[in-house]
Amino acid sequence: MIDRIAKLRAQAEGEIAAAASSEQLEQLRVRHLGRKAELPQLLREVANLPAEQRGEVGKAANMARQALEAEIHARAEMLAGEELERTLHEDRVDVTLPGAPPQPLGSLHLLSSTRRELEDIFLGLGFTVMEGPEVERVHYNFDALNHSPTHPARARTDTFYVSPETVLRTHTSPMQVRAMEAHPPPLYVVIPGRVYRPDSDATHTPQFHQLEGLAVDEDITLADLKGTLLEFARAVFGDERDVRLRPHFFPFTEPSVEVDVSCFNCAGTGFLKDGARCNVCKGEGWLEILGAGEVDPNVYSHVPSNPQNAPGYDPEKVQGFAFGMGVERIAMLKHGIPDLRIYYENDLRFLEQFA
Amino acid sequence: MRVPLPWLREYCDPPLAVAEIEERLTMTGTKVEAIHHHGVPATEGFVVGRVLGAEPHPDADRLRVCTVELGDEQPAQIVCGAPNVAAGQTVAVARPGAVLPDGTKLSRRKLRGVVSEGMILSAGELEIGGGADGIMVLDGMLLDAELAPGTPLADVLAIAIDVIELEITPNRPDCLGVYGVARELHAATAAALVPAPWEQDLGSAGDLSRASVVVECPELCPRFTARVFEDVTIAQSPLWLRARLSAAGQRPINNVVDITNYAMLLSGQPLHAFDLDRVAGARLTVRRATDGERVETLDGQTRTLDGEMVVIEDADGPTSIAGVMGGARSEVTDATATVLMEVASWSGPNIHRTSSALGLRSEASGRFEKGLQPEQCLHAQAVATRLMIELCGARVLAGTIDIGAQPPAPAVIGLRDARVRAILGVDVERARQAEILQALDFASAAVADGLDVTVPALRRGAREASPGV
Repeated sequence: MIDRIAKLRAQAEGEIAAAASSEQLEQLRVRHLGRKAELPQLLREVANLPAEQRGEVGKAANMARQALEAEIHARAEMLAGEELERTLHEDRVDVTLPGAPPQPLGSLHLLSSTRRELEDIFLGLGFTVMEGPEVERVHYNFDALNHSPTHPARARTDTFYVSPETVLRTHTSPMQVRAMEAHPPPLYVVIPGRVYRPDSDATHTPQFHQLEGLAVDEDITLADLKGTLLEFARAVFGDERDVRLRPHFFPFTEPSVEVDVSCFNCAGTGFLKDGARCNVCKGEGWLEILGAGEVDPNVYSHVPSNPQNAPGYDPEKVQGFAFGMGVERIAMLKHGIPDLRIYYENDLRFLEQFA
Repeated sequence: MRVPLPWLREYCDPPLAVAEIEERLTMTGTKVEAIHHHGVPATEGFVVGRVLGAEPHPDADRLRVCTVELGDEQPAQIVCGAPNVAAGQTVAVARPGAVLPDGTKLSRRKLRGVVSEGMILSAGELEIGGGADGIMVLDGMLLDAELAPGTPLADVLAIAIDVIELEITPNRPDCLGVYGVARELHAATAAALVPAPWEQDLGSAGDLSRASVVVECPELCPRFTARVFEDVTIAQSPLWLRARLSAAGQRPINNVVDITNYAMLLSGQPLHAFDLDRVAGARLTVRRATDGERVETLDGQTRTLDGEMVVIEDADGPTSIAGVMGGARSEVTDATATVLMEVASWSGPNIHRTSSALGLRSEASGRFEKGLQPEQCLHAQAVATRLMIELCGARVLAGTIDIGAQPPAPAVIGLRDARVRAILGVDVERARQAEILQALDFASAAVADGLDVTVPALRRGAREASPGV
């Protein structure tokens, strides 16, 4: 019996020492120390032995079992350590290896980034940003903006009509009256948005973008308009810029002006350093950037008083300026884009230049 | 609008270079879009010459070898291909070294073996209209009876003209004529303004029995005026007129048509010349067209009209689409001897609608749709009358057919000092305000809080533009 135990123990010890993995070791534990294994069987049968053999055989079997358990434990720890080491080694990341091929990354369209830039400038000057409907009533698009009933801009060749009383707005200006209907004076807002006109060539697209500005208070003058637009022009085109106001005509401002900014390409001289004529301003020294003026008193007369805008807009008590600019035009001037249609063709070679 | 600078300077001549004039006009609201150069790039080398002899070329049937006196010791030998060249003519000559409008630089060279020292010029080669009929013969075409050979051509004929192209805003139809721009330049520079060329009228008011006019739709035709000219001689216009029209972008046709265009460019008001002998019944009726009515216009096209459009008809039916285009049946021809000069005012929005609906735009419709004032009719009549007499040898019949309501009394706008300051943010002295207004033909009278400003007829639109200022 004792010999048998010693043999089992020696065999098991040999196999444990040779075990190569935790899984193999577990199989060995089951085989040698599991319920059906021979050594535990021997231990259970010790009770059936003659009394004089019980102590010796039981002691030997117990010692063998304890020794095997200890060895399995020791071997298991060793194997676990080895395996951890191996895993750590195999899973190591080499940060110096080259990455995967680059994936295309989206970015803002030039018109979006320009619009945001313009909004930021006017936010910084104390204006708030509003938006309005692109499908607009004739009332807001023309009537309330002092366009005579026979004004040529109302013609079907110049405006998209949805119905006789509804148009796709031809400018962002209808929001002047909507803004004044919704808010009392003083009012300082800019309104970016899409506008529509039936034109299509290198400098016109049926849909384009404008940014409207409106400042109404008790004493906003043409001089305030000039100061505001000078600040704007410098923010967009550089600190050295100057602006000039040229008399013009719009139905909803009086006096009306067109606003030029001194050319950033030739510093307003019209000529480059090498004496050639400036190709940005065509030698003029000035670039037309927007239309503006003092809001015509007739426009205030079209703003009904209501609880939201009390005390309302009395033409004798309020005055202010309005301006409207083309977002495409500002971006064209700033980035030297020759053709308006490029904005909408979504050619990646164009878009990526401004990503 | 294209304004030849020498023509503008005839009425207002500030001592300023063209670039400064451009700046002043632009900064007072009449934006100069471009400055074009019309004619030869430089005037050097262009002189008056006299043809002493014109002999056949020994080796070419169509060429002539001319001896031309150019004021030098020896006359020059010039080979010329024009069929009309002849001894005794006074002509325009380009010497070697001169540069033509198309960029060609002349040199002394041989033509079929014969040396040619320059070129005898046609009107076309100098960008003066016409000229399909050979070289330009200066005799009788210029005021000076005798021109000395060798005289610089630029001294006697506008061969190098600066033309300013202006953007006229919709509130300024008064600037659609050269004189209106001159008034603007006067206000912008304080240079003197010559009295309007229509102040002297060689025609007269009163009844005119030679023709009659009926206006059935006065709401679309606020004023209709007509004068009759007899003994008209149709011919080519003199060079100064052709040069001026060409520079302004109009093609010279004949003296009567050129006079209508000249008077229009000067006053802003379109005119139309009828051959009165071809107006059936010598009677014109202005009426709304009927739906589906068809009219053949001057360009040979047949147009289908509707009830919102206006036609002018004679006893045989419609001859013109009012304010847009005349008809072929009664147009002026080489045989015309009697001219009825029509100058009328039409409703701007109605003309805009008609020309857009027909897809037919003309120099006249483009002006009428901007809203001309009834007073301008007689301005154009006065300019045309003088030229018809001077250039066509015509006799103007006494009287003027003049149909239309009395124009409204001039509006008076209160211009308050406080409001001017409040809107502009700067002070403008009341005296300075009055001075600027005066230069623009607005009369003003001082009142307690500012000026009472009277709106002149040609600025009637300003009343709507500036309410309650």
